[in-house]
Amino acid sequence: MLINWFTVFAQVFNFLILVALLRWFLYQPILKVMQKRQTLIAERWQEAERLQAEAQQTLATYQHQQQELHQQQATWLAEARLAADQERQRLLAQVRQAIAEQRAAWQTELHQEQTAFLRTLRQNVIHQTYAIARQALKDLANADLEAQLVQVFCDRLRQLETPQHQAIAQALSQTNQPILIQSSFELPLALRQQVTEALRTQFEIAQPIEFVTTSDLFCGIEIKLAGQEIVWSFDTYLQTLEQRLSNALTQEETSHHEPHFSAGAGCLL
Amino acid sequence: MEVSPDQIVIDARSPLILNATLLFTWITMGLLVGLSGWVTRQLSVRPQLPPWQNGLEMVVDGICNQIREITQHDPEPYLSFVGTLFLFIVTCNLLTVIPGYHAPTGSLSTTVALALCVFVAVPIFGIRQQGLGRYFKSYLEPTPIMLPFQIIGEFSRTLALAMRLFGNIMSGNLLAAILLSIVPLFVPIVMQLLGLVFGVIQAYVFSVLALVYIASASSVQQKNHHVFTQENGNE
Repeated sequence: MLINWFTVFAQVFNFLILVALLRWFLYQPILKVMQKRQTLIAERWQEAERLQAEAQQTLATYQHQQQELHQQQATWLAEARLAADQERQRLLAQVRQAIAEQRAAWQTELHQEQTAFLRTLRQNVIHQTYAIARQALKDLANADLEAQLVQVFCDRLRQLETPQHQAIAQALSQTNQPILIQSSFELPLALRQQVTEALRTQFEIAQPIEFVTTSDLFCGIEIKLAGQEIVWSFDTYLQTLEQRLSNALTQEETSHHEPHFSAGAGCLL
Repeated sequence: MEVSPDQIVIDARSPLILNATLLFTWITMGLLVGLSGWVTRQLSVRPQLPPWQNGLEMVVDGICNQIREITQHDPEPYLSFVGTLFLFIVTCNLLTVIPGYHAPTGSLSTTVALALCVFVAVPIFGIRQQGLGRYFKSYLEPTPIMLPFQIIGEFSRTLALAMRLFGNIMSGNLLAAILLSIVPLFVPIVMQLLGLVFGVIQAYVFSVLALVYIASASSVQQKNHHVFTQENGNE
């Protein structure tokens, strides 16, 4: 007999025990851990989907912000360009103003220097011309400049035109003020007498005559008679020379034309 | 030469005779339970699995997939019974490669016992799924005249189940023994390899048939009717 019934029932019992043991030690733990893993994967999947959705949302937000930033950048750039242009214009105006002020100051300073130069030049020309003329007259003609000047002055007094003579005579008759004779050099007594004699010859003078040496008058002699002045000096020549020098300095810096000084006649005022 | 390991008596002194079938059954049970307990004591949930856990999960998941494909139903109620059937039979059959091991499935007592378990399990699962009246009513369909044939079919398929497994394993062992005596070199090795393949196939066939019987008795009977019919036709 191939079937041993004791063995059959024992095997049935064994199989049932094996079913229980494998259920306890194999199927339940394995199924449980697989279920846990599936749940874990599902949770991770949901988390990944949530993170992906957040990432998409964040990306959209960033793209929107980036677009806004680009727009703002263009606006800011235009505003910055406008501000820079305005600032440039302001700075240019400021610089122009500063240059103009500096130029004005420079021109003022230049004008002052020119004036000082002309004054100095005038003084030097006066002294040099006076010295040369005096020395030349002495060397060439054995004449004294002051004496010749007084001589010519007296000749001119005698040759006054009638209207001038009458005006001066009328003025002298109406005042008692002293007659002031100013000269750029100390008049010797002989020359003083020559001038006094010439005056008394031409006009009836009751007033006293005073002689004064002054540095304001250059190489000349001046008589103040009752509000009238009679001047005989180098001033006219010097004024002409000064005017020409000034024109040459201010207008024609590049021109090198030589200044020519023409001798002019003196004038009696 | 012993046809069945039942005839190999290990200890005859005890009141209950301990034969090789019972001994190797216990050894196989111990191996299965011990291996399962050793692997499942520290299971990892993370995807980086230890190799043994991965292997056991593949086995359990494979069994679940087979059950799901056949029953089109949640495999968990059937897993313990059908899975244990498959694992026990396939382990017994594969361990025959070890010299001196006598497969308990080569014993008609074991296969009858397993078939009896299936025979009892079918109405249990059927009643649990359908209810008592509906289950027994299914024996009267399509006509009460078929009731005797239904009952005969229940017994015959149980007997066929037992005899098929016993015959295949026993014949494989006998063939290997005969060939070993006739052609001692090379051919027995090939036959042993073929025996391993047949052992796996027989374990699969026994388990699938048991599952089909159980599923046919449950609410999914109609869905798998063609499978059931096909398997009966193969017998």
